[in-house]
Amino acid sequence: MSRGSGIVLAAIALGALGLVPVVASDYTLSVALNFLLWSALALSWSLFSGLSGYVSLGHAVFYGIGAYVMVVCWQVLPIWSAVLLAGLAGGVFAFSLGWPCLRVRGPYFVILTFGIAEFTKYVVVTIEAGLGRTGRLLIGTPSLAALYEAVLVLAALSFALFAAIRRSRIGAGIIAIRADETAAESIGINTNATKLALFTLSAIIPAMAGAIMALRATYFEPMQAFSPVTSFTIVTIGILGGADAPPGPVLGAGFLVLISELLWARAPEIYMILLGILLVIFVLFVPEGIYGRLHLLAKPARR
Amino acid sequence: MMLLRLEGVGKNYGGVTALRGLSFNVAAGEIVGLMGANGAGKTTAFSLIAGTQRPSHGEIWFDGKRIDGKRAHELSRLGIGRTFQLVRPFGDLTVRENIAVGALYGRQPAPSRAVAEARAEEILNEVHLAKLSDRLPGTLTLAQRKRLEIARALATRPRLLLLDEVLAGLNAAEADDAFEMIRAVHAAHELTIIIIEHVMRALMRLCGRVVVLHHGEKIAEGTPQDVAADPRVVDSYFGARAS
Repeated sequence: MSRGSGIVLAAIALGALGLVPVVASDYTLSVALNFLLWSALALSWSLFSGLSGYVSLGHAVFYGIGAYVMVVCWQVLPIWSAVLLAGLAGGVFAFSLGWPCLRVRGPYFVILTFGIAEFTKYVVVTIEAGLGRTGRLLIGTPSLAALYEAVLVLAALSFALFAAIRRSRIGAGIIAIRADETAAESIGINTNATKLALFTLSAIIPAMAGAIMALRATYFEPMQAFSPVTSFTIVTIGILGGADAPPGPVLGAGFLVLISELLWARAPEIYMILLGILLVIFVLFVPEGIYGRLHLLAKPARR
Repeated sequence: MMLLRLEGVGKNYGGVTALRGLSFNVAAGEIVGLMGANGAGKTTAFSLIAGTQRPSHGEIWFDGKRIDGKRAHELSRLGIGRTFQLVRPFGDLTVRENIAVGALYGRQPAPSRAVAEARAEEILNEVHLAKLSDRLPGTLTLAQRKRLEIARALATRPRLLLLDEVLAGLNAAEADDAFEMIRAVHAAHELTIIIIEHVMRALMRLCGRVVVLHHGEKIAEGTPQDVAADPRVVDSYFGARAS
């Protein structure tokens, strides 16, 4: 697909998605919102983890921090300023985490990001308990349609950001790092700075999404806002859809939300089992994900 | 003009001394050979010059700047390129993409993407990999992968190129081709080259001067002919002669 036709296609999709609140029921709207939310989260995650090969199992921490910033700023700051502040907080947090964490790779990095996310969750739990707050309520949040449009903006931004990075010099650099960090360094790529920049960038949108979803939940409970299930779901979507190019996480999110809706209602007791089996099948047989496989089928001559 | 100067450079790994008091100069435009038996410290010397490792002692100067302690990417940006003894291509990028990444980064100032891509095409032709440009490195022969290793380093616009055993493991015909290629790129890119090689015949033809290491120390330096006749060099390769 050429770049021009891609942009036209994206604009049409964006327009159609923007009209969903006008025509759809509340149920459809909330399913569409879920799809966009997971797209935004998985796209942001793929921007770093997909391109660098450093698998973050702790992206829930940025989502949680965003939600926490929102509830702390509730009725102190205008809502949309709080969303921006949440993004800033997520970025600053990722930047300060990145310095120590990005020195280790492979399973060590996975465990470290997971551990830090859990640690942060319990710090927030302790702070809230110390303040005597056990769950905060947000009353008078924006309508579902307004939140939907906000998440749509985030999803579109993360798609555009991923696509832009993928084509850029820094994108070529991070892909070289994924293949061989020592060789990448030897051709002039500042590996530490490149990883840190993309890790920071990949945290901003999840934090903003956390802030918006706190408005949707209308309450804040740290165990839920920082739930590791968010991190697991993001990684699952990356694996299902493929995390190497922007359409991958979107396909993964669509696929996951669709089977969730189909299965959750009909077979809740085996839903997680089926999801687990699906994940194993993809890791073993389709490691490049749905989009990666489609891409290979389109040009098989390369391998 | 002196491009590279090592003064008393040493490297210890814990209690093990890999390199001790190494000093030598390389003038711009030269091809200098680095010889020595396995474990003599040749690759360690390369890693120190290219910034993959930091020296424990001594100073390294490149183009009038002190560079010991700088990181590898900073040295690449100053114009030092290297290949690895065990080739390290970017496995999931095509041959063309491997070279293009090198061209996008490397010596400062960095070129635009269009310039970098045009340069990658030129180098593909220069190292005779143009027909294989859309292949993945895993599908290439060893000789082709060694070519790719040189091509990617070349794409970074180096002034000093460090070649680590780029002829090793090649058959006679492949080695001859690689040899001719090195000579051609040396002339075409106004390069200065330091080459690690065991093949004496190749060093004789390529280098004006060789430095011989033994157990981490320099034991000889001179023209290939002089060095080949030096009894200490012969001893270092074959052990002390029975007397």
